[in-house]
Amino acid sequence: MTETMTRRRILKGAGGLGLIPLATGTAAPHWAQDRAITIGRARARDLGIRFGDLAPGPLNAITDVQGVSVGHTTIIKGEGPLVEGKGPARTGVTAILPHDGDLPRTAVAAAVYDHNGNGEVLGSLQIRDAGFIASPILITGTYNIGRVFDYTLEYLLSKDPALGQTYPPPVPIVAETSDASLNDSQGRLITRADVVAAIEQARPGPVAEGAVGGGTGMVAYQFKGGIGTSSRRLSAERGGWTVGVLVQANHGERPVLRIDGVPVGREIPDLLPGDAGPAKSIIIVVATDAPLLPNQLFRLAKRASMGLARTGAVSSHSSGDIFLAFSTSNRLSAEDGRPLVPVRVVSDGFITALYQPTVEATEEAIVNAMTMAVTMKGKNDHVVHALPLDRLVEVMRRHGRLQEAR
Amino acid sequence: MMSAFPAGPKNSLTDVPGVRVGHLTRRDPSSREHPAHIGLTAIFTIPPEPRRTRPAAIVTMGGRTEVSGLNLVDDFGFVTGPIVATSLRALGRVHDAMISRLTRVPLGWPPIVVGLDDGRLMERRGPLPTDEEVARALDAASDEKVEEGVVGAASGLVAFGYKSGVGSASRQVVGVNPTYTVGALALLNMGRREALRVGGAAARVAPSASAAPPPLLGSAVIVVATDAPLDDRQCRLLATASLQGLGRLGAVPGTREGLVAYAVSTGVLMTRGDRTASQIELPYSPAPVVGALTEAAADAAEEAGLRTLTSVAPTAGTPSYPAMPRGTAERRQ
Repeated sequence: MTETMTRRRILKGAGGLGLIPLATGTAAPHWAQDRAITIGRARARDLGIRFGDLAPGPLNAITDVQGVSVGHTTIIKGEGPLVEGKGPARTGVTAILPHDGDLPRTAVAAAVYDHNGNGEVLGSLQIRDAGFIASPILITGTYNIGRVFDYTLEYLLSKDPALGQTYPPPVPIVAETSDASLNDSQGRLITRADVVAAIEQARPGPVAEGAVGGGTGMVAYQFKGGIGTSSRRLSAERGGWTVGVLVQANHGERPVLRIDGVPVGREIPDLLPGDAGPAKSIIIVVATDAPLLPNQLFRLAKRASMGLARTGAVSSHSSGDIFLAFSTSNRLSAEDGRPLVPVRVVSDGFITALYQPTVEATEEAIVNAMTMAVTMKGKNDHVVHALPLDRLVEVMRRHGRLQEAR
Repeated sequence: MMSAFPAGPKNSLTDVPGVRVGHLTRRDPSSREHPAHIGLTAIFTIPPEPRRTRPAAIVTMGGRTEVSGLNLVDDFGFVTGPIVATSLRALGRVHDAMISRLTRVPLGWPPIVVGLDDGRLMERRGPLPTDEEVARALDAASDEKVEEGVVGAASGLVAFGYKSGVGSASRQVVGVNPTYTVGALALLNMGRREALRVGGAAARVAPSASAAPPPLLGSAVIVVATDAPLDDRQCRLLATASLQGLGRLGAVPGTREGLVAYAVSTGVLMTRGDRTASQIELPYSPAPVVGALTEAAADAAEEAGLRTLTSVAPTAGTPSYPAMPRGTAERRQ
């Protein structure tokens, strides 16, 4: 039911995007819709661009970390002038499930790093003071966050009646960046069913990128932005761990954009969106199967800012740059009756091995968010252009940064 | 209660000029154990003008609930609007209602909403506040003496095995010139009965066997305001001092219990994203003044915390969480 409904909501707006409509008939899974919205786009690595020298995991996605799953609900509906509460809608929600266990009752170690605080991650207090996550992580448009928090909490309570009665109530994690330039953001055109669908349809495996889920209405370096992901897998002698990153990129101004050190923003200065509003925000989620304690995860989350910096960002005053990191390795239960619980921890001498993959995967995830996002026309016929892949390839080749034959 | 400083005229948070407080309470008379379905308390320290900010800090000890806006306050050192306390279950709904409201009234961004786990008394799956109800509570904020007892965000709270309410107190910081005021508002939702301390001694309380359990996620929230001009680091010091005031009552952080302090200086008003000049001049209180303020903040917080119990009318308790008997506190003073 929710699948059909979500899909219909996309198809209504598809004409204005030049998207190829899905075959009508039986309900398509959400990834099929999200695939339709990336037609003609490619991941940076498939274009021949390389970020650092570490190898990605098999999916080059946050889901390379065992147990992590991702789901999107993409809401594209209506065209033309803004009518508050009616659209046009260019919004959505992305759900990251940090492990495949009983989420509210099983926690994993986590940290939140507030790199630039003009943003919101609901649930930060519990992550900061208790050092764990026991909830899905939702990423959405700014004005949706209260609703997404409420719908998620209601959903979790409905699935487990003991929560809040005999077991501590969960605190959902809800992050945001603003989709106000393309979307009827004040209208908050997101429903309970949209949020539940993102959580329930979350899957391991390939992750849709670009203008999908929470990233639907986002703008990065004044190109179309959104969701991007990447991963790195360390060799056995460096620990053998995987680091996966997922970003919702909605930040940065064109002149500073760099990709693998190439000043792409200066090379492609045109195709600017009509509104020159302030640079906005980026949410970065780092996942790893390396057994890290909250303090170590905080240090990992800080390194995400260095991957962000490689793409040229300066984290402007108006930007909400807040990063989460979690480790799937130790699963803890609040109700553990044992007097002593064994916890695995990465040795001090191996922590640095996790920094380089974090930095590289963050840079690549941000670029994927742009190379996978389509040109989008939103409210008041405002157009945000996609990063043109042919020109990007030409620029990278001219700077000697393209791997031609793979 | 011992203090080097006298209480303000109202002995209330609203003794600090410009501070306004409003409650929303929707009662359900059909249930004795669930006496209220909805409650929230809104505290304004900033005039209703666009893009105004004041120096502030949020200090937490073992937070297990949620305070929205934490990342902004931590990084920027200011607040942009009211702080609203409500049920943890209602946090998302109230946050969303604030977003509905802020297109019409300058409320700042992001909303600061504190959630308290009132599941011991409140119907967790009951109806949540509407946009209209939240707007009414925000609009009803006034600078009169804060209504205390079982009202607003305290509707479903329990502390030390008793029904707890809204508590407030203030101190006039005499001895510095000019005389500043420090005001506090407390919400207590934590603690076993044996933990309660009054005036530095264990309170004479009923045997613990009869006491109902504390909340699953306990919290203590203290809001402190002063008209002394402070920067955010000094606000942080006041917030920390106020947590020590609550600690005198026996409020201790634990794996399921946390304390949250919010301190703001109404002596400084700034403009968010100000580009009218590249530099501005701000007033600033020197160290000796701040030293007196922290002492007053601890005292005001301690009294506000105790008043969360003493302000509950004898009939306002529930079968499981009665009002604290009269004399429990007075005997020790």
